[in-house]
Amino acid sequence: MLKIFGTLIASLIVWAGFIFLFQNGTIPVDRVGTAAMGAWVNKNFVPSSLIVIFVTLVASSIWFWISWKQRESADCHESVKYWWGLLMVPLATIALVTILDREETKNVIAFVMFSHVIHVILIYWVGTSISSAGLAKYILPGSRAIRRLVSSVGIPI
Amino acid sequence: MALYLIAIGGSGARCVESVVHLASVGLMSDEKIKILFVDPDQSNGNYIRTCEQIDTYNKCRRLVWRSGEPCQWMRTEIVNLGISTVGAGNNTLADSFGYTTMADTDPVAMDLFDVLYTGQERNMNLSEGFRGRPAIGSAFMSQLNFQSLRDSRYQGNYAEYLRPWARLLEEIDNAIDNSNIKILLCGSVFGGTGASGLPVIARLLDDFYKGRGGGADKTPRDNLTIGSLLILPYFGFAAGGANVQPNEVYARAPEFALNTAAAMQYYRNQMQNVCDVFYCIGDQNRVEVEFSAGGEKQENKAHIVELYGALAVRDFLYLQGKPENNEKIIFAERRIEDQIGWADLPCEPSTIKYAPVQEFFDDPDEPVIRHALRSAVRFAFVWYNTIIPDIEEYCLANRPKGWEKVAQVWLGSLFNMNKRDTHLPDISNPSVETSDAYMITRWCENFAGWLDNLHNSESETIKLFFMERVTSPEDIYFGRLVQDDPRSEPELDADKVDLIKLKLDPREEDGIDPNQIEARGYVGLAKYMYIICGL
Repeated sequence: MLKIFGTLIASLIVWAGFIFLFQNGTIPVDRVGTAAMGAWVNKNFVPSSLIVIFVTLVASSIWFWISWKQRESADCHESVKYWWGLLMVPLATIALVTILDREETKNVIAFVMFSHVIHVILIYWVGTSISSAGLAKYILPGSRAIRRLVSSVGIPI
Repeated sequence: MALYLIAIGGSGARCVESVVHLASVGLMSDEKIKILFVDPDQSNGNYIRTCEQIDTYNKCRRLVWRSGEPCQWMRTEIVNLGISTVGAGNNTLADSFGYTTMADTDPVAMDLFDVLYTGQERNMNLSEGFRGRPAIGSAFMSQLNFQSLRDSRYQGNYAEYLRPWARLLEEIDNAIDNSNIKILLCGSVFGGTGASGLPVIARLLDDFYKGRGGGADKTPRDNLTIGSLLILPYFGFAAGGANVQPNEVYARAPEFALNTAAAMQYYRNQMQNVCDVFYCIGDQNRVEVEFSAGGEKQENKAHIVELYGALAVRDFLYLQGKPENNEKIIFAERRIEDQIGWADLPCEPSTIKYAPVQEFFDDPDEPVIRHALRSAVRFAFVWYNTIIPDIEEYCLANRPKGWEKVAQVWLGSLFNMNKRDTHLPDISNPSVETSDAYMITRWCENFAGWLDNLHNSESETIKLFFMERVTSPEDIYFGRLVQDDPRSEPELDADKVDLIKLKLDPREEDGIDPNQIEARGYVGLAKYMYIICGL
């Protein structure tokens, strides 16, 4: 579980990077002035991101619980279907917040969605891949490569 | 130094089978055990089965020891010196000793012959052994002339039945001046071959090594410990229904007790100065076996008495020097009349270390014999019921992709699984004869079959393992294979096959140390699993 929180921190750092890029205009949002830009970030980007992060965290935690229960079972690969099912929850959330915010974010919608997807990738995919234990550690798609990559940068898994 | 085990007759061969299995679980020492069989009936089913067991053991042992690192499993090298078919090839006793010409050449000898042997005994066909007549066997056994073998420097063109003796005696002659040699003779006292061969061969060996010193104070016999493992009656049979003529000579179960009484009297009066150690093992709850006059049909199931016999071999192997004045008597008996459990297996001196090779096999909280057998049973269960069928199904492409991903956890450190084009590229179908796994699986079958036979006694209850669980493919029984397991219920529940797999992952906290064993592939898998199953 600690590993999922580790990926949460990584995700928040990336998120802070996006906020910075929006506010200093590197990613041009159709707003005039820094104040208006700050208001858009606070009113639209931050809430939608927090919703996505929260939902993704919950989905990751549920998978962690499922895989922990299955960690000593050679049949644990059968539970991957739950992982795919849980993945749909944050993806649906991204779709929902994007639809709700579409008027306010239409010219940067791709950047906002990209930011949300990064949360899902980091917290859900990477988080669950490195936190799945026991016999379940390699059952998720790409988990072997992700584990190798993470350990290659010196993070013990 | 090696232990020379001379297995005489069918019961001797059956004890050797148990010796092989105790050696496979690591209960013998690092000394070689060299076995010489004595039986005129080379087609004896018991002998053939034992030779097959030795053959499988040796093939499996070669695999296990190929990479060289010490291992408790199959630690003892067993050498089959062959069979001495003394007495075979003679149609009848009369033919062999020229009875028909005795009237002319030596009428006194003929009279003596008539006193010693009945007409039926003189003329019975000996192609299937001595048929429960020790007097006949003794006549042949006493013709073994060890001195003539030595005189020819063990290089003569001997009859087939003398070759194993030449090899054995030459080895002993070369070693006896510098080391202590142990010879254990094993056979029944109630049948034909064992009863005739054991005392005669023991006496021949005793004379042979006492005589070599030429009357000197110190003879090679001082460096030789001779033991006798006497198997007392433990089975019976009814000849009724068998294809035997009423007046034909064959072993008769009702005569066993009488034969035994006479034999034991003889051992007490005549053999105490010949043998240094005696082990006497029998069972008053006699199991009924199918009658057979000899040949391939004489193949009996393994019996608990043979396990005790093998434990006696173990005791003899660890014996420090000769017991003095025959004063030490160790007496073991069962606690409950018709039942044998762990508590009835003999305790042993604390000087015997189960695992001088690898200390992690030691479990101070558990008697060594139980610990060793338990480890082997657990290993055989996991290997035979789970691991091999699982991999076999994978090799037959009957496993989903997800199975591979789980298998990477427990096979990843033992098989090359990093190639992108195909997973588990090094895994061969374990049921193919060329696969290393095949021979290990055969050993598991033999071991479990032997243990199952031990438990299948109709005359008493053997409470060592739950054999119906051991032979069941249900994983759920894994934690509950051993009878009288002292562990708590939650501990038994937590003992699962999948946990064994998990421990094969070196990245796990309690996983294997990949540097501990060099072997990889099936052999590495088996060796690591054997260790894990014993913990």
